[in-house]
Amino acid sequence: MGRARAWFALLLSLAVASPGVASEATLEEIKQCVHENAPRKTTIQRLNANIFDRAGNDRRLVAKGYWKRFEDGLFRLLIRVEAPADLRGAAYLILEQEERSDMFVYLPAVGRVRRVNARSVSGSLFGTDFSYEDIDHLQRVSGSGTQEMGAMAMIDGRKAHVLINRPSEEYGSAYSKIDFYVDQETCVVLRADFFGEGDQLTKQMVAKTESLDRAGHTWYAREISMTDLKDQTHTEVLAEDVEVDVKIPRKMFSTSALLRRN
Amino acid sequence: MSRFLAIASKYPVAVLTVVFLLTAIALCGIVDPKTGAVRLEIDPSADRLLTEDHDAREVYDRIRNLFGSDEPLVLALAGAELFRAENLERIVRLTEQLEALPEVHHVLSLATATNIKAEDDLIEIAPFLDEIPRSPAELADLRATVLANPIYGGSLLSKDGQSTALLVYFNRLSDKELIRSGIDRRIRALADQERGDLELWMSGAPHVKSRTSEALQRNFARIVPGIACIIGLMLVAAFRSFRGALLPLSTIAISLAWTLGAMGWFGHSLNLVTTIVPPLIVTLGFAYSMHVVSEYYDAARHAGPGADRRELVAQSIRDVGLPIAITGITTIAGFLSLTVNPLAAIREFGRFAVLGITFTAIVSLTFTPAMLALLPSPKRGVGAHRETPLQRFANRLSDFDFKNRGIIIGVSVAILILMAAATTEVRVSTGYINGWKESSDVRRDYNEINERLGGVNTFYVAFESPVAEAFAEPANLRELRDFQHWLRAQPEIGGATSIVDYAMLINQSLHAGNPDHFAIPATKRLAMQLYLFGASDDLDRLVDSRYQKTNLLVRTRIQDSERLATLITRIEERLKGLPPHIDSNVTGSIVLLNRTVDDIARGQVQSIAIAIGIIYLVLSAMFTSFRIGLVALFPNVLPIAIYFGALGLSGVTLNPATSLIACMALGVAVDDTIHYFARFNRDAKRAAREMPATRSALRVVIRPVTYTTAGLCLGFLVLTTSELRSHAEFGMLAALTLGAAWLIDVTLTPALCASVRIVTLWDVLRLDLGRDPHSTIELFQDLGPRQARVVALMGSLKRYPGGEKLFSEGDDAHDIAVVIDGEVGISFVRDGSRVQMSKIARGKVVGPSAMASGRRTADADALTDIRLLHITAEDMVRLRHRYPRIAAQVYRNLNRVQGQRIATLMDRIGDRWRDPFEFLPIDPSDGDSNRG
Repeated sequence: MGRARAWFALLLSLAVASPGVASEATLEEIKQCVHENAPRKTTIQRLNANIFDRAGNDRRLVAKGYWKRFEDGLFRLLIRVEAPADLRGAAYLILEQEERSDMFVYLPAVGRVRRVNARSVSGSLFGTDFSYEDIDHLQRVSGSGTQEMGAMAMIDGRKAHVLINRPSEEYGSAYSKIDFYVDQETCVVLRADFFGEGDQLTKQMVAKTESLDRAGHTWYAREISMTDLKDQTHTEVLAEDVEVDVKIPRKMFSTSALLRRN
Repeated sequence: MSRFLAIASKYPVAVLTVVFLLTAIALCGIVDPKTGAVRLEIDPSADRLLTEDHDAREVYDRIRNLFGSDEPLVLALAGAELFRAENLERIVRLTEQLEALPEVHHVLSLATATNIKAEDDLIEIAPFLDEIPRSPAELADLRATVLANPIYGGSLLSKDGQSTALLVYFNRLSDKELIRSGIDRRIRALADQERGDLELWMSGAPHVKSRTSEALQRNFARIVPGIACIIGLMLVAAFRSFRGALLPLSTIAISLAWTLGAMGWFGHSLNLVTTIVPPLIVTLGFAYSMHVVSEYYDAARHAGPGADRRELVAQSIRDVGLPIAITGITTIAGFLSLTVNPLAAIREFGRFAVLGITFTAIVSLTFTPAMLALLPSPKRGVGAHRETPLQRFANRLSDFDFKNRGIIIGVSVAILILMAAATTEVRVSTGYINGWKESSDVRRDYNEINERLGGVNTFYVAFESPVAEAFAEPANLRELRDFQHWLRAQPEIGGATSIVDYAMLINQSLHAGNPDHFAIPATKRLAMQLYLFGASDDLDRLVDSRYQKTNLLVRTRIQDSERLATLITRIEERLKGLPPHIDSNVTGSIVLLNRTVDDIARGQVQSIAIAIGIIYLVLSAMFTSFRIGLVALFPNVLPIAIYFGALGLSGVTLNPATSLIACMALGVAVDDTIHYFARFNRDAKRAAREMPATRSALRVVIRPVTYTTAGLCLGFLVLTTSELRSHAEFGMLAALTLGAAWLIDVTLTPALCASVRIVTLWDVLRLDLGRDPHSTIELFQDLGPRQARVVALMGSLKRYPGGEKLFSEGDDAHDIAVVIDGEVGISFVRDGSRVQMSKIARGKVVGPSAMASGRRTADADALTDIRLLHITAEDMVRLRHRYPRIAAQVYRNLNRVQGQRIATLMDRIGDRWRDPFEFLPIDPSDGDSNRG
């Protein structure tokens, strides 16, 4: 489980299975619901991201994401940038491994594929306010470390379960804890509060409840935003053209395919 | 004014009640009576010292908002064994602990700075200390890697590899909030815990500001009581009684309470500059109350035992009240000029100094006399009837001044010229660190980090372009690189980091580490893709999201304002060579602080010019002559020249603290001049000669002037014990300037007065010449009322009882006399018989020709009680020099009188030839009083 899942979570920002969970659900039931809400085999979607800096200036990034679960149960993820023009064709390929994911980057202007070993999980992804670690947490909701239930909350009139996750020390997290607000009805994560050292709120992910949508059996929020409260920057992401469990050839998830495609 | 001054002696209980009530209200402005919380705080922030150039501030705020703070707190760890695994682990632990502090935004250290390493197809992105090696070879390799990094080599790690920096950036908190949080101490504690055997230094603007704030608070708690103790001892020595000491001390305490209370009520804090207000109030309060008490003791000594207390107080206040009021006005004028200074901190200082002086004058003229009126009279007169050593010294000194007045004036003018020349060497300087002494640990730490790690001071060169994605264009990046190369070549620059460095590093890493690709991306497309790949918080601090604004972070070792100003000018000149589509600004906290230098210089000239102008006008009005005003100004301008000359010669810089001295010294020094001039004038009138007046005036004023100057000087010298260099310099220079002012007042001022006769405003206002003197007194015809009084005051007004012989025929005569009140009979004796010539009443001149002839030609007797105005030839000479127009009119009037007398006399002679034995009575209106 790694960055492949994590990136998938960015794509979908999903939670658990369609029927939702009962209000008296246990921690395990909620985690299961989130897991079951994930696509079974593949998903494709277009992501429109607006990245705002401190001064409120923004730049736009459009990328298409392909996710596939292979027979070994591990995931592959390909993200290819479509806009702006200067970045078109730049791509990331993430191959989940047992221990650690392999990441490859292709920049058309360089003309080569490079393997990247980014040991810093708190690094920014594509200059957005999402870090690798954020994606990982959003995907897993319950990662390594301890989890506990918090009191029920209301988000935009919707009931939400609160899962409090404290990453383990081995993970090397930038966060002391993350509070997930899981929608009772759809098991989508409506909000996630990321706390730094001293339990100080540093980042917040919010899903627009009016953008909740369904592709197949999977619920997701089309519009989400991540705000960095320390730096006062934020990123808004809109997911479009979501397809779940459609056919994607295996060879798409190879380094040679990165080169060929471009 | 007299009625106001008399209130304290007439209604002392009421006055004291009001004073205590106001004091209670004032104290509530300092401490909240309900909660006990201190309202009046010390604000250590330096914002008030920054220039208020709105454009410059706007640019700085905008750049800082976008790219973050340019003022990190800098920790440095150093040791020969720095690159040992355990020490590197210390750095990692310390970084984590610092980042856990709620006030900290992030820490840049070897534990967080990102290293991009490329080997064949693999790119590793991780902090330098992500995995700490153990073997010596790997450690050496790591050190070499850091040093080779163009961004961090030389800044995060010193060139010798033995010192490393941790830059602590804080969340958006004001200086006040940051200092109040105590973050500085907590960081120090954490660093001390982790340092092991490594040396630890701490610096950076947040640290210096914190320490400065602590020093201010310590100073305040120590210096004000210290000054009060010194003054208390001076007072005991002066009056040889505890009452003589306690009363002025109480006056000072009340004045201080009112001033600080007002600050508290208005919501102001004591800042780096306004913390000088309390010592100023203490020392000025001492001076004013000293004069009041001294005058009272003198009056008591002369009156002897059994004199009415309240009458003594009333008399003392009458004598000293107006001079105190006027000295208060002139001192206020000195500080009022500061209220137009470009710097907010100095304007605030000016306002509260004015308020404090006003309160001090009011309290000295109300509380002090009210207390004196209620307390029993002194049992023994101070120095009763015995000449004190100080008075003996005054006698000798006044003789010396009188005899050598030409030399004294000449030497003074020479000093003025020399000091004016030395003024050209004065340097203006600002800077947080400059306020600390070289021996302080703050300064030492600063110097260590500054030297080893490329400079503690940082500023920005910010670039903007209206062109979209301008700073992804290789051409623009080349411009930046060329500029950066030029900048790094400047001797003052320790390092400069820009987006170009990142772009080149990422480019190299994506080309398998090939050094040939440590270059600017060849295309915009490549640059954009490199930025995408290298997106990070570090990059966000160098370029905005649209790549239209970019920041170059510059480190410099220099903190001297002059050198920094020169550097900035040079940079700005170089920046003019950029293409027109790239705008640039040099900005940062130290840049703004440097602009303050210009403000200080400009403000100083402005303040002094205004102060001198106001004081000159006040003196001219007081002495009813612009010329005398100029004479009186000279002994007050000279100490200022000496002060600036001392600055130029000593190398002490003009900064926000020392820039206050000139106006303060001007306002304080003029007090002594006014007291001396006033006393001299009074005594000169009585004695009708200058020499005795020179001596008597100096005898009287030397004690209060000497004690107040000594008190002021000692009080300011207490400031030299401050840890803050700026305060110590202020204290030393203020003491020097006031000491010089004293010397000038006891030498130059008497020398100047020796050849002048002064007419003061209050003399003019007080003089009674009866109704319409300008139209009823023939000598004053065609003069205005004020002009008539001036003439009268140049002469001497004397009273004579009825029946007194004024002069006799044949007496030597050197003056003319004008009848102000009463009647004078003119007669002569011939053949044993007294012949009555005429009766002369108000307005007539007696003996208009006597001054010229030198001999009386008749007898004059006071037929009633009379007042006669005597005007000598010398008086006329002085009048001619001082008031030439008035003198010309007086001569015209005198000629007319003489002409009329001669005409009448000729008529009489004609008549006498007709009847030689007829002596016609002379109608005074005929003017036949030529005899006399």
